[in-house]
Amino acid sequence: MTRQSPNHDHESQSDEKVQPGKEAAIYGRLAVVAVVVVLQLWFLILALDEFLSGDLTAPWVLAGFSGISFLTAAWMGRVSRI
Amino acid sequence: MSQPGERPTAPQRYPFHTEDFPYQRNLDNLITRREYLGLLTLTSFGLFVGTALLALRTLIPEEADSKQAVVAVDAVPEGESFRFHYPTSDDPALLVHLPGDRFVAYSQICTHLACAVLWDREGSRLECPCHEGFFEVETGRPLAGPPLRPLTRIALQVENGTIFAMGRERA
Repeated sequence: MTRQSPNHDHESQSDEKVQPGKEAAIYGRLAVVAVVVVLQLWFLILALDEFLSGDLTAPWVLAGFSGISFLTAAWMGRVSRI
Repeated sequence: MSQPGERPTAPQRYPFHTEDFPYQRNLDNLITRREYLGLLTLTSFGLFVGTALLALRTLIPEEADSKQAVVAVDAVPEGESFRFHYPTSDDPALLVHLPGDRFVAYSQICTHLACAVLWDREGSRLECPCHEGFFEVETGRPLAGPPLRPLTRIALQVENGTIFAMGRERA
């Protein structure tokens, strides 16, 4: 049965020959980015807690950590390279 | 099988719900792993923006609280409390008269989930009845229960037998 998806890229992706290790690389990057996102959520909660406690320095430090985390996620999420 | 002369019935189709709620299984693969990776990266950016906005919020100075008369010193006996509003009428606060003619005042908003904190005279502590959170009356720091942050303290000053609220002090 042919697929009715309007997005034909999915068909081409499923039909293309997968290189060895490519699938593992995608799963690996997915896992790392998922962990980074959970960490960022923790940074945000911590920053809010510190802000409400009156600490005006900690949110900046945590924003820096969150920025580094985002750059890591963006680097890991370069889908064109895998 | 139908008997001769019996009216033929249309064959039944199962399940019936698929007619009302058609489910196209071939659309399950619309989100690929690569797209999911992109979605996670976008979420990561959103979380970074949220944290950065919170940090930028610290640059905005808070308006200084005004001096407001609360109550006369004689109106609150020792061991009793007095509820008032400070700095605006939307901000409930609690004044407690401690032994030794000492007065302390805190925002009545619990730092857990913003329930109203009450004075527990028997336990000599402030209590949040919603989730059984307790605060030390001397300092406002949490003693037990879910609250982790101390209550916002209100600076007081006594002038001519009247207690004045001078401003909020964050821990």
